[in-house]
Amino acid sequence: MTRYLARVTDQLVVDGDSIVLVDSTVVWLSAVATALVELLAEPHTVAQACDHLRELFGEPDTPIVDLVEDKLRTLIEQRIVVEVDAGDAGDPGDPVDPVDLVEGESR
Amino acid sequence: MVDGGLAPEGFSIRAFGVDVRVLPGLECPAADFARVARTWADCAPDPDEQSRYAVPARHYPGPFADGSDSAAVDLSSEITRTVIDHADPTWVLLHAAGLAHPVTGDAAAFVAPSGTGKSTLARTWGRSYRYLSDETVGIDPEGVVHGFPRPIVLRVGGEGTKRTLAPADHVRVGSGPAYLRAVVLLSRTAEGPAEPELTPVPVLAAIMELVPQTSYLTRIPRPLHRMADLLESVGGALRLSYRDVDSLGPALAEVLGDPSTEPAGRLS
Repeated sequence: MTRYLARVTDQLVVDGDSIVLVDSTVVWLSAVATALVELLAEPHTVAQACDHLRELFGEPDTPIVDLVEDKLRTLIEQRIVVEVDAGDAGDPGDPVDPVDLVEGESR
Repeated sequence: MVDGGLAPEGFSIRAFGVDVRVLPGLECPAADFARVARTWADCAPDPDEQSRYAVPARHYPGPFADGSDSAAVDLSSEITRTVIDHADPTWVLLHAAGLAHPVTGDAAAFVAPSGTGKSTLARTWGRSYRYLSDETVGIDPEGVVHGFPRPIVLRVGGEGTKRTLAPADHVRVGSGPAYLRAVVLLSRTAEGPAEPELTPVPVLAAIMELVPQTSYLTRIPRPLHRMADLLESVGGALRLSYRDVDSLGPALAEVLGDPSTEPAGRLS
């Protein structure tokens, strides 16, 4: 069964929302995405993620599995989350290289 | 060195703990090299400050045949890149103008993308306050702000011709420690308020703006937390919205204190 793992360099949570640093990019996450990424510090399945979010936020109006799969798709597109195999216990992939984040003439 | 002859020797600068020696190119007239050396005088190594890294020497080839100063401007950019590349990885390097109160050493980093007001602010108000940099400031883990008074680049005449000038000839370049008291996000627009406004910026929004203006952030362990700690240490980031740099006096006094008066109760 597919599990998912967050691969962020750093995550800063303030009042439920958070920002994460992935490679050289900072992304702002909603409270639901923040909770999901925090859970995925360790590999979890969609079903486990559904249970976690249901516990935190209650049952949503739409099916929770749809919501979780939608969030995961977005997080994967943004390289914040990766799929890992059941037997691949949390290999976070290659370490993130330092990247110069600054634009401008002198950098 | 002899005017009109070839420059035989170089000069050293130190910024952010990085030492760079600059040597004249083979065809560089001594007078031109001496002029360029003078524009870097405010970055001369301080014997009280520790050098942590020395990079291979850079060469100044001399002015171009058309008399423009582009080689000096290029040298300045190259040295800036070099010191940023080799700076202590525990420092936060902000793409910011830096000013400090001339007596207290209270300092502010005025952060903005290139071409949006840093240099103008630093050069205008660096005559009243202590000028730290018009481009980059380094903040060490103790909150000490390290300036980088590299040559000031001015556009002269048309055609985008540039000239480099010694900061000390135009602004107040001092010595002694400067301590971070404010991180200010500059917002200069033609539609900005006639009376400059200082407003707090929530921490996540501030860091989203600061990250693109931070060099090598990912060299720092837990970089977002480091930025949050840095902002917390100064009471959070401020946004300075304004239209005209000449109107900034009251806002800067609010951030750094009035530069013409010594705050009561402080020992000098």
